[in-house]
Amino acid sequence: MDKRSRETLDELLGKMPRNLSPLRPLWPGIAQEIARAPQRSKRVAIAASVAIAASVAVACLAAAIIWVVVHAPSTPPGSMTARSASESFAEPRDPAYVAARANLERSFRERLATLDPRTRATIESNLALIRRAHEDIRRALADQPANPVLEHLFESTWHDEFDLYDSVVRGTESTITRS
Amino acid sequence: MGTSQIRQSEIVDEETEPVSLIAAAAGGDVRAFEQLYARFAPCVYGLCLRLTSQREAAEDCTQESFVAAWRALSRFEYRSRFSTWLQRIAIHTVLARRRGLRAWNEVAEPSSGLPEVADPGAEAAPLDLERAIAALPERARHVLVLVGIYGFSHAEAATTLGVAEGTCKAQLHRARGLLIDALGLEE
Repeated sequence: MDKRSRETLDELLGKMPRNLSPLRPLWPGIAQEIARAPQRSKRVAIAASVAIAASVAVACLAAAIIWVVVHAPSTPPGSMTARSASESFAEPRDPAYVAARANLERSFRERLATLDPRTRATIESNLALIRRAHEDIRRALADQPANPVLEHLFESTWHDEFDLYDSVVRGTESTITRS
Repeated sequence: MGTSQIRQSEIVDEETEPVSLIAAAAGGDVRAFEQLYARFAPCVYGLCLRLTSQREAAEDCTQESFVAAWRALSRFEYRSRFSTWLQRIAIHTVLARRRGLRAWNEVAEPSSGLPEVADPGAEAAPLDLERAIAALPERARHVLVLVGIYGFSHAEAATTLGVAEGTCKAQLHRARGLLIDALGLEE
């Protein structure tokens, strides 16, 4: 190669093709793998149906939703049932599920209002922490979409918020029953 | 879509973002995802090949990247180009694989593979330049590939590679120096 200036190195780098074609077809392997790894949306459908069926009691509904999202099978029979570390978690967007979740949050807010100011402040502070952590992890996942540690943390904080709602609703049930 | 967050330098195809294909694939449409694969695979493979310098590793990483993308697709929020999002997944996949190989002490020869075949429609890079890049120390090569070839900023490359921005700049300086020496370029 002839002597060239430092700028020419940048030019050479800039001219390098970004797109390269693999020598062997890669799609068949990908298709085979994704057939065994359905997207989270299929799981959401299961969650929604359970949520509707359990809508009689808000506390039971929350437990059912959490149970379904965590434990419902997401893979067809005969394939792996355990989620791999890299499988992603997505917040369910099904309308029925979102409505059920809103119901739970509404009950949580109603029960929260019945508590003494100090307890209420503590709970709200914890909820804010959970939500901030969830958003921080969401942003981090935008930069590292397949990071399994972040995926796990993202899912954990999502459940933490639900657990907090559920705990407050359940914890205030006896008080309401007695009164 | 937050266009201000889109790095134009990373656009693989100047055509419009395939929003309908992305939405269909996010809804579970495998054929739509196959079309996305056909469109973006050369970009992902090219990046993986230059990061790993090994053809088979790059093929494996490309496959793993698309599987990971399929699983995470419902969370794609159009805050960046789809190609950018895919590239981040690919980089993470390469780095994770590398860590795994280190753990098992199975690291292959660093220069056992080179970009043998360029995209037929693209201008082929000089082979000596490709070889010189492939022969760079791993960290320096990673920074050079991301910043020098794929147009990442130092901040983006540092975040993606999990290093400090100063480290990223130092590695690029090192990579440039090594390339200049290897290719007999002027300072």
